[in-house]
Amino acid sequence: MHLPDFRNPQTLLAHVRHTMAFYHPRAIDESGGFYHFFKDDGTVYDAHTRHLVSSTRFVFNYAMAYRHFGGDEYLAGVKHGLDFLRRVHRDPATGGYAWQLQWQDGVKTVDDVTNHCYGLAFVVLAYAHGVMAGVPEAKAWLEETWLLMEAHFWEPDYGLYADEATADWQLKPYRGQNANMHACEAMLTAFKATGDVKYLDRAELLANNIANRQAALANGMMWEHYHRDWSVDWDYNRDDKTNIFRPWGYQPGHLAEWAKLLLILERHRPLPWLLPRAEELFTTALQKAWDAEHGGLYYGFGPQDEICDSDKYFWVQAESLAAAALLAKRTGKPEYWHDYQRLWAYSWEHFVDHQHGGWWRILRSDNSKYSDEKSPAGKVDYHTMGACYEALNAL
Amino acid sequence: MSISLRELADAAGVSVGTASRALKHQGGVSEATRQKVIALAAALGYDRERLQREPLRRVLLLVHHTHATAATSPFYAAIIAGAQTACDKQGIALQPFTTNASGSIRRQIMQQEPDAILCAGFIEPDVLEVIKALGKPLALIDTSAPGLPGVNPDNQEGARQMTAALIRAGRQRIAFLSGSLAHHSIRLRERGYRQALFAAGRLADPALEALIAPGVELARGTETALAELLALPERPDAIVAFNDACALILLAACRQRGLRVPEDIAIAGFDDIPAAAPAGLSTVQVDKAALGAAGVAALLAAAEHLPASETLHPVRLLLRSSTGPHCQGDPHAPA
Repeated sequence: MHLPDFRNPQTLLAHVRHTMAFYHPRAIDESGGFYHFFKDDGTVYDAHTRHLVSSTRFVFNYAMAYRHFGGDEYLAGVKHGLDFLRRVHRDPATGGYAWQLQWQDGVKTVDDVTNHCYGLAFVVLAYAHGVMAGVPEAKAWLEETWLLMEAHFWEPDYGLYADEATADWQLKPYRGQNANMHACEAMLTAFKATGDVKYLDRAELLANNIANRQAALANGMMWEHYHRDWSVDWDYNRDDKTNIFRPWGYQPGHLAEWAKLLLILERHRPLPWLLPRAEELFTTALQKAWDAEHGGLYYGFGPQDEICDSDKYFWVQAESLAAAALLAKRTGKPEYWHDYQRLWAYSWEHFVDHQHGGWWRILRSDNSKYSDEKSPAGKVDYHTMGACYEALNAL
Repeated sequence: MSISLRELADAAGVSVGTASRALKHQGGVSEATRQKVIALAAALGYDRERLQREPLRRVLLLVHHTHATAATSPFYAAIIAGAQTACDKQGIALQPFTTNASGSIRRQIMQQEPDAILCAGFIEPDVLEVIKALGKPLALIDTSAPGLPGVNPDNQEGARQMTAALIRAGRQRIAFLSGSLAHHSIRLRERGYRQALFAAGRLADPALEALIAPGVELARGTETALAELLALPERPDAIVAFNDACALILLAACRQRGLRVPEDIAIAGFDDIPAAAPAGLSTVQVDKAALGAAGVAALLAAAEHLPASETLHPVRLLLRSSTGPHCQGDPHAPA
């Protein structure tokens, strides 16, 4: 297969345009928000279900596209998405955001009122990107969401966010690293958007507590699931290994994603532990989860280094190539450029839909396809375009 | 021309082995014999550098008893950990050790039978003389003495950068809260604070330099010094504390008095101990593990008779919430 030059910024920018062209303008629902479910060719296969994770990630997509390529329609997309978050997802009575709802003829029916910290992290991310795209009202919404998380999820005794709460904010016992990782990402972005150092302080604290303290409890890597007191829960979802938000096992994609976040944090907080830790996490992910036969990174591995989920997920490859680029740039070591190249080469051949745009979501270990559902709720190629934008910082 | 070890041993009337042990300050030699051999070596011109150096096996890491308190131990614990890792790689046993002020320092150290000695942090000049007289390879971490190899964080530059950042953020009355100026690091931190004021053309108001009285426990001393600063006709709008432990006490004490940090008063520390980040404390980051490792490297160089040098380790500003939401580092400092 012909491979473009992945070290050339134009290659990545062209790829982002191609991916955006898959979603825009077909994702826009004139009656509010975005469609969330797309077949491989772009056909919308569920016009009404709206998930908080997609609703927020679309804002990221449009805001970044607007900042890189300009265009009133992208800015309009940002405002359209923020409006739906404020007007439809958000419940003014509780301050919470509906996790999933049905949107039909301009009327919403809430399916799931659970408050997820993971979701609020993406609300913060969306508002921060709104600010950076030039929507001034988003600054107050950002502060409002910070206070909301502070009031309902932040646990200062542990220096981490709790995970899940009922509609009236009763915390459930589950604790997890994923929500804290995306909160760290959101806080770094909020700092970039506002310059307010409290966001950076929080990002540093989350990074240290997950990447050092919690990892020390689980063989030096981040386990995903914890009890209420942040002791490791080795059994959570042991029998549900493909759970979309909470799979069992170590996630090489998350180790790589943390490596990326630690290097972003290092730009603003030059702490000596960040680079060595980022190198360890990334190297561990590739050593333990690279498929030497078919290429790509597996989805999960267990405490005995056994591959517990051998499927290939798009976001794992995307986050890893972004981390590889940042590590290569930061250290100058050629092996990271090599990893960057092999991750791109694999993804270009097996994941990118060169015809319609976007990446497939999931493949079997032998890289064969499961289905023609390219983008169900939650995907929207935020990871792939985000990885390209981040890698561009290193090119 | 130097005489041989055998000639020295003959002159002293002891065996070669005893003469060697006496010169190396090893055990198995009476104090009287040791003094006699050392005196003869000096008189007859024996070149002690010729003593065969064995590889270092056991290094004593001396930490002053005032550094072993809860307030100061996080900083030195991280230095010790860094030195420990470096020693592990070399197959050297590292023994952290705190001398007891009431007994003979020399005896306490000799009982540990070290091959070489590292001193971290404050040390009384007379105690250092006793240690130097042991004739063992010696290096200093976080302190300094003429003619001895030492590794230090760039204390002056760190305090200068922090003070300069506060000046840029518009703070008008920046105080410095100092610990004992007998400490090398604190002297230089204070100097960095003054340097920044000087560079900005500010008058250094002596009333804004508060000192924790020597011998007073840190929490009480900090409270007293803060009370003095807040009682000034024009109270400070920022305090640079000589270290994080002191700054954390200031944070709590200011809030207890109803002062808002950073709106009413900015607080900054030095060292970046683990408790700094959760408190949102602005500080100067010292790579403590690297400092410990560099101390071991300096000691190994001393054991090889390489010329003693003093090295400064770069520090970096960490501007967290306690100095305000928009306090920025020097835009021209290397990133």
